[in-house]
Amino acid sequence: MQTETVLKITNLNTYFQTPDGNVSAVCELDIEIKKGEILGLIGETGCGKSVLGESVLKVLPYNAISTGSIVFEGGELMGLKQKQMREIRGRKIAVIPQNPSEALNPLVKNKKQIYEAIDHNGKAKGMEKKKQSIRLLQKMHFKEPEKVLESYPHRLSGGMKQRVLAAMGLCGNPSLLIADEPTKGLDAIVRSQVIETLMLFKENTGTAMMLITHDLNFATKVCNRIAVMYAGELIEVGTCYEIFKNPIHPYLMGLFLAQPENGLIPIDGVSPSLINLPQGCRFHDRCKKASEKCKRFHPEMKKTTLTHEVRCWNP
Amino acid sequence: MKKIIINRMLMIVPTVITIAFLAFSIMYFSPGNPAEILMRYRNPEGGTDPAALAHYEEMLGLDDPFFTQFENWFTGVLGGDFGESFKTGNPVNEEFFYRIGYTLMLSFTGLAFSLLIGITLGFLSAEFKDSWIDNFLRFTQSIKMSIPSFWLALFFIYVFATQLKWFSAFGYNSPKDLILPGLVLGLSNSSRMVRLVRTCILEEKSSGYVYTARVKGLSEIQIFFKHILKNITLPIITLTGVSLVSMIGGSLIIENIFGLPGIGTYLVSAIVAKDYPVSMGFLFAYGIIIVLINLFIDVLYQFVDPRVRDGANAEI
Repeated sequence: MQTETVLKITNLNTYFQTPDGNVSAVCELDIEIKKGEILGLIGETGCGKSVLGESVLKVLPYNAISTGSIVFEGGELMGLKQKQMREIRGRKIAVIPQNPSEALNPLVKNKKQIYEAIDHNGKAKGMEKKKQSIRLLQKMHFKEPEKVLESYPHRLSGGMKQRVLAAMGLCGNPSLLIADEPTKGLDAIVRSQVIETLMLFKENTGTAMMLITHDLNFATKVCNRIAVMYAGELIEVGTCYEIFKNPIHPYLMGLFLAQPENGLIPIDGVSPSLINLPQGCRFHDRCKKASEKCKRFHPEMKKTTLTHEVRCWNP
Repeated sequence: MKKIIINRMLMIVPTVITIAFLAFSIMYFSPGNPAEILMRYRNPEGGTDPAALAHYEEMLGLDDPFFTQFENWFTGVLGGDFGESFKTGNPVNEEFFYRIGYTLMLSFTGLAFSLLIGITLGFLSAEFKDSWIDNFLRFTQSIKMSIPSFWLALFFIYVFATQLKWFSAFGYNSPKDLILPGLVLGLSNSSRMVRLVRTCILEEKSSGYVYTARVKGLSEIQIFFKHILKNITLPIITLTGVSLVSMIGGSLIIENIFGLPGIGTYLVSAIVAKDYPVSMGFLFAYGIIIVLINLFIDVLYQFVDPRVRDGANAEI
């Protein structure tokens, strides 16, 4: 059965203009997310996965340029002006920002920050706004929503802040949620709270999700499909089962071996600089299987099964 | 919150006593005999006859021990009596209240200009970061920082008073006469403000809550007024307090050039002339003003930052 595609990204390139040259953070990237699906976007820090999310939302820094096509619910986002993008942000595409402890304004009451999101989604009047906020917070399992509304963010714990942020995302009727590193720097207890939050969100909306993370375990726990990024490009895409049981790309296999439960074996070398990318496969100088071909020619994505794609000459 | 404010006010008491003690002892231990100086003022031709000198010392209470003298002076001060000027015989507090008005008017005009210039230019500089506007503003700021304020004052007098005749060059007749000195004072204090505002806005713009506001769908204007402005208020308040203190104490040159009868000029001439009651009284009152400004800023923090109100660690 063919399910509806929510987001289809084709040939996306995003680069930053710096005095040292162009930093290409996202390179010729194709991916799509179907309705109700959770796509995990995995990669190490600096591989461009957050930039991908920011490109979709058009909240990139001013020195960034992005080209290609981003089709969201049948409409092209690429040419849209900021003003038109604002109609989509917070309404159609919700975001759970990274680092919840800094994602709320410390000097503004939670109430006001939630109301802003509600105001953006329509014209609820004073009392109605409060009722709606309370409903949203209850959905996020807050026991005393009134108290949360009246207090300032510093009185909330990290997990609570994240649930407040998720409640803001819920107030529209989003068909896509982008969660950027929701578990970064969190301890085990808060992390399980976050997973719970995301699952709550999913239950409440049935929305598609793009989950940006470098936490492999977390991704395999919650995602339907996983895309792995390395040095600005996708190197392997597949269902969660395929990625976990049958990883093909040497980098992904290396990632699994580097997990604590598999013996913490590091991958030799470091990721290439995004300014001077190597010729050929971007992983070749760290790859044990690398051949002459890998050094010279850049591999394309190739399908190994209907749902599994990989970018490697020697799979 | 009331409790915290009362607490802060109680903490002022030891500070006030310390200031009074320091103001008194600085003058007490500085060389020169006040009785002798007073004698010379009263009777410039007469010599320093030891018997008359002893009479004067007794009259002024200068033969009392140090702590008795301090006590006498301080009880007077607490009752609002700062003594009389040796030179003019006028009560010191009258003189002070007459002059502090001009100094405060000048300082607040200067502060208003420095805030106006600082926030506007800082905002422009941050908003158009790395464009020609930003580069131009940063260039002019660095030039302005190296211009001494007396030069700026003379230049403004030449242009706006002598040539254009928009303002009077000297003395105080109407509030309009505060504009030129206030502008000079504000300009020479605004460089720090411009840089602070620029840095703060840029820092806040890359912060997490601004990102949240953006992805929530708020416009840049909404983000600036509803989120960023509030967060840059704290550092601006801090710098405003520091600037105000330095303007009240340091507007001496400007007061002199523009002929404003503020405390700066008067205090310096009193110190030079060893007019002890005036020097001690003015030093003490100036100290109290600084303490009050700091108290006011502390209280203002309580209002702006809920983290300070809760006693949590605010990142200031």
